[in-house]
Amino acid sequence: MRRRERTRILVDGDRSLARSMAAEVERAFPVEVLDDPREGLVMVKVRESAKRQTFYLGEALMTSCRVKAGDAQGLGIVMGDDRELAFDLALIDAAFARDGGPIDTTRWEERLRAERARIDAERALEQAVTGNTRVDFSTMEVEL
Amino acid sequence: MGYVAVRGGGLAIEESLKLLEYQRAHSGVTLEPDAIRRAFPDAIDQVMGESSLYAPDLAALALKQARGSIEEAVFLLRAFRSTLERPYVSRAVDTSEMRVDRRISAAFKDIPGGQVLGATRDYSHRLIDFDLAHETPEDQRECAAELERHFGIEEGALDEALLAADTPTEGSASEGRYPKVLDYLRSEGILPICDNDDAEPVDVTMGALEFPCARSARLQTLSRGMTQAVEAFGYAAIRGYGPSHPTVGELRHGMAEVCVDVPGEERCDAEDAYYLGSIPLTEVESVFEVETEEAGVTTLSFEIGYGLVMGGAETKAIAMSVLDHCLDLGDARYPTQDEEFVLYHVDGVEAQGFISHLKLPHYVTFQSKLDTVRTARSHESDAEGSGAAPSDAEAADVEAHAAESDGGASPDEASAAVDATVDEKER
Repeated sequence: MRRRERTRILVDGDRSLARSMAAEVERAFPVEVLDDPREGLVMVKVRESAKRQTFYLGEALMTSCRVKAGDAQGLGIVMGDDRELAFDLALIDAAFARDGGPIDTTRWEERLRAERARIDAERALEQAVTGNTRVDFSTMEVEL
Repeated sequence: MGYVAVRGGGLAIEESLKLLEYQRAHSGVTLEPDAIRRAFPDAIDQVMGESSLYAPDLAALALKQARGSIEEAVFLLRAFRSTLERPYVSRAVDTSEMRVDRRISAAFKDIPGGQVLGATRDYSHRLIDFDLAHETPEDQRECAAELERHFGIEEGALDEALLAADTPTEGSASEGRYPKVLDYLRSEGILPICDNDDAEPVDVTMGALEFPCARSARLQTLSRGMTQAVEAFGYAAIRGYGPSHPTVGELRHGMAEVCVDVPGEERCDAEDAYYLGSIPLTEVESVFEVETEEAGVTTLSFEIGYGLVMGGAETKAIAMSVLDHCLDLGDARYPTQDEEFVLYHVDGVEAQGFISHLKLPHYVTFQSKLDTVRTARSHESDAEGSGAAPSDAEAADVEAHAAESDGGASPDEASAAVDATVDEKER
């Protein structure tokens, strides 16, 4: 599982998943905090669809953190003001940056896939509700 | 005329701020920012959109501090953002990947995926619901539970959905992803198909606007513009101070993913990027009919105006698409096609700041104007005195004006206000 998919599950999913995985990293490696979790901004660039040009829509509050777990570095970034999650994400990122070692990240993939299924199901439910508002046009008969 | 530096008024300002705080506290009601965020999502969207900062919790706090004033809350949020570092720029968000919860077209009845109204007031009766005046938390919970049963999302529904997750029902539409409506016109060759233009956009938060400005600066300025100003200019453009009536090809609302590349990597694969979260957006593509003349032959074609805003500000997004097209045309006869006129005047903080400064002391400049008027009047009186004497009524009028002018501000008030200006600048 690639980083984008993984971080999407960890950010949108249940917080307890990221915490438990991060706790495993803390137990397995000496952890050094390179950049304390802190708030900052990310500028959101968008591609408009009329002429396919890009522009800056605006900024979003985010929290970032950088750690070293063992000899691997990890970065955690999340939207909003959430220092705990940024720290946990950085630890998990460091674990995935390592090749081999005491944590077998392939073992985590099953938990990540299960959480993704839960997120997908939640969204499918939302879409089902939205689907009720899909317009069903019917053509009126015209009297001649 | 000489200048005299005066000071004073510090105490009055302190008392004024205490009075303001007293009025807030004396209301006897305090709302948690979380309650404000949940109860007034549209106001939060407006504050974030005009602040150009997606931060719902902070927007709620700012709205609480501002006692409901949108312009003050926007000011607070803009000031706050200037205190933070901005280490990252996101990958370009592609709105065709949005998880859509509302999507309509005024151009076509039948569109791939259908017209999805989502949650909208468009077809509601605008009548005050007096039942809400006495709604209790229990009433609200019952209402929510009843609607959850209606929609089939009561407790346990998620487990069932989990079981069904392996069998998506409607392809990409089941995930909320829909094709762009206007791609149909592109595929027919009626609208041009554009390649990605990766020119680095201008960032209007990093420098003053320069005219003529890049389209990226124009779109950013309109998107963060004061909602009612953008809507008013867009309305004026449609009413005759701009191009003809547009057709909304597509309006969509949904959540867009924000991702950043791995820091330091020049070419990062999209799947290796970091996902930070999703933000709600409203996007509009409006279609304008245009006449072009080439070699004496007039042809009709379509052009697109583009609008994209944070949150659910649909009217603003439509107005933005109108103004984007107006500014593309750039016909100086119309104010709505004049970049300087539109872009300099849609920013809420700029407008509020400039107009508010009129409340600050202008005693010296006004005294100068007053002197000029008095001198002119005195000359007129002299001229008239050398001819016919003024009537009693005219003399009384001159005196009344003089008394009114003198009675403007006492020296004490003047010094207090001057000090207020100094303090304001220091703050």
